[in-house]
Amino acid sequence: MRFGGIRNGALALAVATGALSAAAVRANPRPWQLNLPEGVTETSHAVWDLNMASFLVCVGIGIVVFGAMIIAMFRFRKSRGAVAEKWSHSTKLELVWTIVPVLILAGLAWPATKVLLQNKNTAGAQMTIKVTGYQWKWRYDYLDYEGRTVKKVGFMSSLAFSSNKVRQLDSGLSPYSVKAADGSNDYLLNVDHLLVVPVGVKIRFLVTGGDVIHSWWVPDLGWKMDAIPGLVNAAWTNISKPGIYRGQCAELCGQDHGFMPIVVKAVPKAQFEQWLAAQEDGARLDKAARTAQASIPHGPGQG
Amino acid sequence: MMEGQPGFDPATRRAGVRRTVIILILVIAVILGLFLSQFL
Amino acid sequence: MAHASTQGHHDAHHEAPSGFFRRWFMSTNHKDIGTLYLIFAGLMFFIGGAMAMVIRAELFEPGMQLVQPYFFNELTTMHALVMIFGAIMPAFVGLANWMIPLMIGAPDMALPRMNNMSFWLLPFAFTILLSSFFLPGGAPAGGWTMYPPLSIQGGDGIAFLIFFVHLSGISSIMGAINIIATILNMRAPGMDLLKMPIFVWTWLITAFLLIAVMPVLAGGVTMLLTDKYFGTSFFNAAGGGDPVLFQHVFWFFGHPEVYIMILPAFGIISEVIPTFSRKPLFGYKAMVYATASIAFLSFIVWAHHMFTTGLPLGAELFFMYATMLIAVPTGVKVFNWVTTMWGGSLTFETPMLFAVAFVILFTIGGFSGIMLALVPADFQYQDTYFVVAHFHYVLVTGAAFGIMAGVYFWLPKWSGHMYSERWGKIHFWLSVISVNVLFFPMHFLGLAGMPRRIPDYNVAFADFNMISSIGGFVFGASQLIMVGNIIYTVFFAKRKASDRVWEGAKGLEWTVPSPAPHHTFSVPPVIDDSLLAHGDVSH
Repeated sequence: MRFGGIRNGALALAVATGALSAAAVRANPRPWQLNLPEGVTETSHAVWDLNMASFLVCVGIGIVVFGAMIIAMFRFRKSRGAVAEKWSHSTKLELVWTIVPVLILAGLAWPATKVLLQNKNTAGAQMTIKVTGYQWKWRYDYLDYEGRTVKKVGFMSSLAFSSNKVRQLDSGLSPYSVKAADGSNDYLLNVDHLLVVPVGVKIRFLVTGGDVIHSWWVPDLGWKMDAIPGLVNAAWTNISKPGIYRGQCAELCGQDHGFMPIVVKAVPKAQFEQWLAAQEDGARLDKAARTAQASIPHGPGQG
Repeated sequence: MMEGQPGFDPATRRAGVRRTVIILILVIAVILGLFLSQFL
Repeated sequence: MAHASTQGHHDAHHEAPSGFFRRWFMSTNHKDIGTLYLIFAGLMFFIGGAMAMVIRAELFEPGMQLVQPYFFNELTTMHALVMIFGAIMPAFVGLANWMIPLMIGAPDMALPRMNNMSFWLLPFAFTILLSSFFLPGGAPAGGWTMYPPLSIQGGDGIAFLIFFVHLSGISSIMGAINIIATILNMRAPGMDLLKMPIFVWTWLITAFLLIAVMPVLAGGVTMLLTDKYFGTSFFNAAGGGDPVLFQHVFWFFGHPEVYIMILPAFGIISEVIPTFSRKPLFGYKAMVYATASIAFLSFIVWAHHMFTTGLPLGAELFFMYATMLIAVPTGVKVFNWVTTMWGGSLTFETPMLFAVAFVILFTIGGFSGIMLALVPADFQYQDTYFVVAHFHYVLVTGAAFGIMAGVYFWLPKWSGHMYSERWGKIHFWLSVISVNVLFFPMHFLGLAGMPRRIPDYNVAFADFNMISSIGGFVFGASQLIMVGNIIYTVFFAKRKASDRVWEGAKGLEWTVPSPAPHHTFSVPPVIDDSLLAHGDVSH
């Protein structure tokens, strides 16, 4: 396929330039990174193809237009004795450069429409996670998994302490000192509670805002979705490779807009199910503990 | 106003300017009216 | 010359008023008001630029070094407002004031006293806006787009911003009415609509855009005001309102606003390129129709700023297709400029250099615009530095370079002296190199995942941010050269400019003396089609 070819070519280029980084899944942004990450979902690959296709079309047009301009600037210099011609019109030419761009644009609109249709189709999701943006943290609630309701699994996720102390004005600490477990720098891209999800499962996200508008964005998933108070937006993903994928809030939401990252940890299905069961047990134990506490009679003077 | 050649006669010009301004203010009124009609 | 008699009888009241206050504060003269607008725009360019310097300094390396995050948001918000409403728009109105009457052979603007008021609202509007920095809650920090609920969350800065928008909106609407009335009624006999210079055409269309969308913005921000202070819930979800509604209203204004800031620049470029190519503009009529098509399309593409708000599929498809369609008339303009140069006899004085840079760099901004129009790709690009790169390419190397080309082009006509070509060229080369060092790496940052409007970032983004900041400092500093050159030209330059100034210059504005006398065309010029840039439109 046309875009497949482009993608393979660019892939070879990316492999050649990025040979230093040996990690199987490059989830973090890299220094000197020039392009979108290819990502780990079907959507992100399709978007990457679209990005490359439109970029190459622009490069092509640019070569023609700027080439003509540069030739004109050398050939028709007055200092080289050029004498101005008098013509100022050509219907034929003008028709050509009205119709040809329309065709090129149609050629871009077609794949874009296809990818959009795919992107918008949240039907058939096997799992639902509700994402709520708050100033300045995210809340994740697991609503259902493979047809059954998940009981009370939900938590807040905010900037990790290691980043938070470094990012204070005049902290005197170096952003380069913040390191993830694998040794990569995750300054401002690490959180206290990761969003754990299974790979190979179509996950529906219901995205909403708790106070102001935020936007939930993980580049490796291939999309962002605004988190708007009073509105529940749906989006979906199906991650193909286990790994840790990082993103940030993408809509200005106040003073700490730059400090509410998103970290998604994709794990194999079995491992996820284990994790989920543990969380549900935890929630049940918590509740039991609270009920037990509530049944202890209060001391005098306490309402 | 659009097609005819404007004269250099001050009185004609004044009348033309006045007409243009009235039309433009009506246009603004219509836009604001349409806008408000969405919320009233 | 056709109308040498026009300048022949200078009686006393035809000269500029003698007192400084009378001349500059009570002026009804289109040239003096144009000068005021241009000086004001220059001042705002440096105030907005100073904010940009602080922003780039904070982003110079990862970690917070200079300002608190909230103040950073105040700076990004105010930088945008000052540059858009204070620098770009008034500069274009100033050029319109100076040049439109000269280009169509009118003695002055149609409504000279209203013209004075249009200008003098601006200093008050910006005093209100900039004074919000000293409020207890600080300046508005919710972005120039003022999206609720965030924008009405802070202190009273937003009220100052809203009143600023009202004042400068009234100023823009009055200016637009004046320009339309002038163009439609004040043309000299023989100056048919389709013989008008393209700059006049683009301004006519721009003025209609202003009249159509400024009232909408005024309405939108007033609803914001009542939401904050009078208990309404237009945009408050808890009260049954809809935050996305504001975005629709805002971008219904905002997208035509983008074209308000670029169409007059198209006009300037369409004057400069034929002059220094010594060849008529290619496809004059196509240029006019393309401008009109762009203006029409600008009303039906607003939601491409909102693709990630969860619009229904049908809406996203419609706005994607409509947005892509804008590339067609814009392409026609670019192709016509290139073809105008083809077969010409080119020289590269400073205005031409800026015009050539405009065509290339604005087109790069257009390319990223096409990429952004593709909805699924926009889901990645939206609200990243890729967008920041895109709109700075169209606004700085587009609108601002257009203004710089125009200022160098017409400065000899205004002042009667030639500017320093040597320093003009130094200014150009420093600007064009540094502006690319400043904005090009932002494409990479955005693609790699850096969101916009953040004061601090991961170390992976450090290298390109540092490069970008260095470019920013050089670009900012090199603009001082232009100020120096203008001051030199106006007050100290010895070399007199001829009436025609440029060898290839055509049009009525070049038939009046340099400097242009206080009053011109008191008697209508006799229009000889061969004097006009676009006299021959038989095809």
